[in-house]
Amino acid sequence: MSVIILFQVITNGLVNGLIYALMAAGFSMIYGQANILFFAIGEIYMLGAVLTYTLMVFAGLPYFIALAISVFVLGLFGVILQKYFFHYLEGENPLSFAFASLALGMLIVGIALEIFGEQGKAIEAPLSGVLNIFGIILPKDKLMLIIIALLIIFALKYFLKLTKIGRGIRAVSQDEEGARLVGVPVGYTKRLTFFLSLATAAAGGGLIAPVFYVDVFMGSPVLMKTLTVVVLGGLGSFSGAIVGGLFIGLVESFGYTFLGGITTLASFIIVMIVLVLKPAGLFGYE
Amino acid sequence: MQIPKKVFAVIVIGILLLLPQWIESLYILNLLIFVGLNIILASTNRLILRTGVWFMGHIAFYAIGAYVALLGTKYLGLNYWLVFPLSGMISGLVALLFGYATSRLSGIPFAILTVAFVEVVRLTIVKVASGRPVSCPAPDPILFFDFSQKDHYYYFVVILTIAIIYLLYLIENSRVARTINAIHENEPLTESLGINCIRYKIAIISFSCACAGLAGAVFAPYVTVVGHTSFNLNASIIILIYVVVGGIGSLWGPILGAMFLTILPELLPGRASMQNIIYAATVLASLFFLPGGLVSLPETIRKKRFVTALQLLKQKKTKTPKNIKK
Amino acid sequence: MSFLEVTSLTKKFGGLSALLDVSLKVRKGEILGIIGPNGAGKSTLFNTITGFHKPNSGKVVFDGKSITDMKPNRVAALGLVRTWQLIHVISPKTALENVLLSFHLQHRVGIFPSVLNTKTAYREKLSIQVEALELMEDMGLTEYKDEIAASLPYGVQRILGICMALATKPKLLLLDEPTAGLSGAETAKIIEYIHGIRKNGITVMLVEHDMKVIMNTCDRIIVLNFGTKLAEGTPQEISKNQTVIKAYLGFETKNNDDSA
Repeated sequence: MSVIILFQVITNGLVNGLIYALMAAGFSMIYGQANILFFAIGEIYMLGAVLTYTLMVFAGLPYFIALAISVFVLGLFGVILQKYFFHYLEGENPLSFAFASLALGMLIVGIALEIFGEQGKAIEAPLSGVLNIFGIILPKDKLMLIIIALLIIFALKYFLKLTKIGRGIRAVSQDEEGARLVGVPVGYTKRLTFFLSLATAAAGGGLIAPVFYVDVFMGSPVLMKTLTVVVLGGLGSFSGAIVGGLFIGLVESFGYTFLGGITTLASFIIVMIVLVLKPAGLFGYE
Repeated sequence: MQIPKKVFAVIVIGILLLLPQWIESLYILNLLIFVGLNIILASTNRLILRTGVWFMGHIAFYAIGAYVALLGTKYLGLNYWLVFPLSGMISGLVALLFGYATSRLSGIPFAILTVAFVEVVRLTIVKVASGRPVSCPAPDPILFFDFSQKDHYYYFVVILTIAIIYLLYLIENSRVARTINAIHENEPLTESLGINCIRYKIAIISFSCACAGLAGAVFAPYVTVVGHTSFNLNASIIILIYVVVGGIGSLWGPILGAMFLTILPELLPGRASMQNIIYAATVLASLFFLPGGLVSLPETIRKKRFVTALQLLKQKKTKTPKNIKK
Repeated sequence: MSFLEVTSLTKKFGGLSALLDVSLKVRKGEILGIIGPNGAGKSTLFNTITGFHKPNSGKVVFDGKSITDMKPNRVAALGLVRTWQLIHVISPKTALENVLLSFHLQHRVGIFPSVLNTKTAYREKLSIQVEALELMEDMGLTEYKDEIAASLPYGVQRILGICMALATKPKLLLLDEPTAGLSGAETAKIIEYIHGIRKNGITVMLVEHDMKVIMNTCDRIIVLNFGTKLAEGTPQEISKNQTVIKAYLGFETKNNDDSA
């Protein structure tokens, strides 16, 4: 196996893996916070890509601006969702939330289909061409994605760990009443969590858009992968999401290159086995 | 007006069986066939949900039933009427194995595994059939049916649906239902009374999935060509939607839900996006305004409790500390 | 030979030893009390004995059979049945339905005949219904039979919980704080029932905080603290035991009256 191919496989694995990690982190954040299985996260990913595309093509905005706006807008959408949708379902059994999220996802796909049609669309990458290091050819757009995704992940991790608000998020995840008692602004924190979660998912979609393509159906397979990663890494665990995402991304990349099409099947089966042996996932508790 | 249950049932069955005499339209017959199949799927899925298990993988067993029927008749050359019960048994067996393999899991990880299972089955189908749809031969002639006409499929579906609903009805009125409720409500307590809850749940899952398999075995020859796209996660979720919108609390719930939601998209523009929007809007409306499902409609109208959700949120805005009881 | 023999039972949760090397014997026909300050491990003891927790080490032998790693439903089927401290009934169902549920182990007819309501199944259903109503009458629950369990007064719910446990025809009954939160009159009733249960040949193991109940019912007492057995003896002996008093009160007393 040549070094060139190895690097390409790793790059592809990182591209997918980091996207999965972002999605899983977003999913886990909401789950840890409010015990909600936000099954619409795949569609938010799709909206991130679609919105970025729309802003570039119809408003003529450069890629990074379009991306930033999409991320922000969808983050706001998250706040609206929390405040006017999930807040009212609070206290219902978690299945209702999961279900409502599924329905929401379906609604989003339906509306998006109406507006954007079924065709997949392509976006010009802001950085085209390749980087040539010691004869190893790496596409610049994928490298850029990797760098930005890593930046987002590190920013999130340190935000949650070091800032006061970030710790507030974790406090509310663990014990809402307790957090309220020590003065954490719970309502604000919840909305912030939703903002971050959906923004992260939108970033995933926006980042992948120039590398692959944009279409209304791109959310569903990503949801499946996200669930796989989340369950592998442990529901509600940030580290688990990152590690799980990278693991699945790299395994798939190696698998596709060397084993062919059974990889998705294989990765599902791997996850099923892991769960049977350690039901809480790699990093999960209980 | 109280009609005795048995009389009511006979009347309904009679009407159903006589329907093809009055209805010429193949389109309507086709619709009714799908209503029947969806009723089976929704009702058996409901049974599993009643034990408290979050089962989102029902379509996978519909698929298994369909493909067993297909493989059995087309590639093994067996008589359809031998393959038909076999489809049910194999679906049930697979469900049994799945249940045992995942018996240490509950709630959310289990739900996610059922979702994963749907994908696994679908991908297996893609692999085996090289991604192409496969044709399924018609059932062998039996009694006076030769399945050359849609009518015959209709009768088959009606009989199968009625049989399964009747079984579910018997279960509902037996001590099995009592046990299921108890398991759902308080599993440790039920376990301490000597009931093996895990075994019960697996048995229920197995039975329900066997029924789904039987339905699949009717679906395959009826649509003549089977492809993996019929068995994706979306389809599994739609079954759940039938149950939730119809109402999970009674046997009628999934029946009403399946009827309503199979027919509704036909009345509105036929784009795929519209179907999504309709289903989604219905679910959301149901969650907010009619959490008990369509079944609770008469009661809700009577008590004028449509705005339950909105009232609920007015109550919740004034947060009372948890320790203070009224 | 003892009816129930627990040997060196240890149960850890993470780093915390809820039970550490606990051994005890229960004689057939006696009423054994388990007492101890909060967090002493009393509920964990019950949970581990009956199979709801797997012990880290140790053995449990009931009526000559080893039940150490048995699932709770099999333990109950063997005759070792427990009640619950917090939620003891199936809330949305009526009292009668709760009791009928508890007769599960008495059914001889299988699931299929039961669902199909064959003649045998029907006859059994009727006879169990009769038994259930009789049991409820013995425990004074007849007037509540069609009431939703959750709507019953707390004391009545407790009695219903005990009634349900009795429906399983236990040989050894573990009562988990049966009088917690009850009034004086309700407590007296429970004491009465405990004596009645013993008269019917059922051995009883009782976790309690209320000393009056313990003193009035138990033949022997075992004291737990921090997961270990602190003392064992008759009520008289225990009430004078300085180590026990220290554990409860934090200090030793010179002379004690009967209020421990």
